[in-house]
Amino acid sequence: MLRRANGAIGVALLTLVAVTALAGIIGTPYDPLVLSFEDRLEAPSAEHWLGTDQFGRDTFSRLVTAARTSLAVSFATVLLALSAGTLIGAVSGYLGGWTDRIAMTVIDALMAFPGLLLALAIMAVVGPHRYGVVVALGLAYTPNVVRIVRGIVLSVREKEYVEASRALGNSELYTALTHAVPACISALTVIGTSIFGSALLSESALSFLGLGVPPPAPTWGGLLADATMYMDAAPWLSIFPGLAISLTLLGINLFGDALRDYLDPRMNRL
Amino acid sequence: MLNYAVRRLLMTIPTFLIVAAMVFTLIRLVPGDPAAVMVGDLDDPTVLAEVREQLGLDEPLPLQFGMWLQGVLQGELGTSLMTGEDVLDAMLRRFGVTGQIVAISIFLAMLVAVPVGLLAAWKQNGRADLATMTLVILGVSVPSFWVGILLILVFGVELGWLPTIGYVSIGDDFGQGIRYLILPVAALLLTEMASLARMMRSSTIEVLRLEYITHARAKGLPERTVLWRHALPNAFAPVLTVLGLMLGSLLGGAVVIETVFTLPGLGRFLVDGIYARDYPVVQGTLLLVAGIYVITNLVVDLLYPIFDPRVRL
Repeated sequence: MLRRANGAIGVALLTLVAVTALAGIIGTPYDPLVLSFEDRLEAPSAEHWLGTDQFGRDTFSRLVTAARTSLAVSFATVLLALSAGTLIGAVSGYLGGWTDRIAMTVIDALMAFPGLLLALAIMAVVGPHRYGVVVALGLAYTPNVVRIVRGIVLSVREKEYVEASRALGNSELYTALTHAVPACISALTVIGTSIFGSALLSESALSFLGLGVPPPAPTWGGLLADATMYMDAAPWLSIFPGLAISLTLLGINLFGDALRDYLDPRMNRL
Repeated sequence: MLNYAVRRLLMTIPTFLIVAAMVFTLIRLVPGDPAAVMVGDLDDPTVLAEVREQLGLDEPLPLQFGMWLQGVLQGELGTSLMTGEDVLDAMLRRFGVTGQIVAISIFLAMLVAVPVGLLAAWKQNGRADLATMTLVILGVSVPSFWVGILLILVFGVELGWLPTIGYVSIGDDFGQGIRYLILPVAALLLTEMASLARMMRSSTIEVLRLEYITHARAKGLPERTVLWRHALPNAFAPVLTVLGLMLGSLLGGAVVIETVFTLPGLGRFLVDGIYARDYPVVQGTLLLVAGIYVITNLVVDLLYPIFDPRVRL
């Protein structure tokens, strides 16, 4: 019962963040990029709900705009990791033999790099760039997907319905993608949700370090990095971006837990 | 047992080789000529050719890799382009800082998370369990670097109790050193505690359903013995594996925490190396971190049979 309530809270939080992010397309109270030096570092007020930053930009407008960037980058990362991971995992698990052995050794080696560090290293090569972040994070999370998809494909490979498809004269690749991959869908939904959370966190960390989506585009991590320079004069600047990241992550985690309980009834009793 | 250990050990060799190849290739993928980056603004073709020769950049790639790998195995990771320091020396010195905050925070997290997870599982769905689970989900949702910033705000800026930036080695001044470590460790601790407690709880729930636990209870053993003597060792084995895997995310988290608290650790070294396009530093750090991760997971796998004697891979 409580579990269900948690899931509902998660969905509500995510809806709130997504709606806010989308509303930002229509407009924000102030232009998030326009500087206004007479309004520097103002405390929250009726005019500037969450105060202003060191250049007099409205924090609320910047947070809303940043939400769109964070969500879009995380979503694109999930799509990239899931599609690349599914393709590699399915082919590797289905074909087996040397293909599988080589692919798995490479995946093992990739997994030896902590996700964030791998993304950092790739960002070092491609330089700070919006799409660079997606590629870096996507690559960092692909190995996890490969592992899971491969495991499931290995277990269904010998099932009769896969055998039947082959007997009908379908190609190996066709059989793998149309019959083995669908068996992975519920696992992919769960891992996709978890990658979304990790990607959001890593994207914030990268932009906090100045190696994510480049300025002047506002990002939650970038807002936090700016805020740390003014902790004395404007402590509120450090509060709201972190709160935004945490609430979004809380939403994803609550939703993810509920989803896993729903898709994996064996875990229900835990 | 010996057979398992040897096989597990041999499995790390191809992983290491591919890790090295990836680190090597990554830097070669950087647009532009590494020699030109090293020479910098000095626009002299003869110097450039000399550096190319020195770096072996005119040799075929596989040969370059072989030469580089040979150097790496002998501990030659080159010198930093920023400071001219030997990369290995600089890394080992900085590793001490990162190692300290990671090790202390893991130790403290286990101290809290293992009993909390165990007791939460024992009274599953009880009030204490629900409270634990609520704290856990909050704990894993708050990014550690934001926790760090909040800690600085409260204990540094507002209360002025603890230093917020910089580092004093506990070797030089123990009391001061500890004061500098408190906030970074606390920032890492929250997330770790939460995810370890969650793992411990679900692993204990699985174990408590097994027949040997029912048997122990039927023998009339007190609950305390059943829980701590019988359930704990078995429930701990999967947690140990997760701990090995968590080390990766911890080292990642340390990068950001070291930036928040301006600690001279390995993570900060990597980030500074990336900013300055100091490729020997980037290469060396990545290699070291991946190496630590591979070795830790090797050790975890070798320790596993001690907690769970059924494992015979």
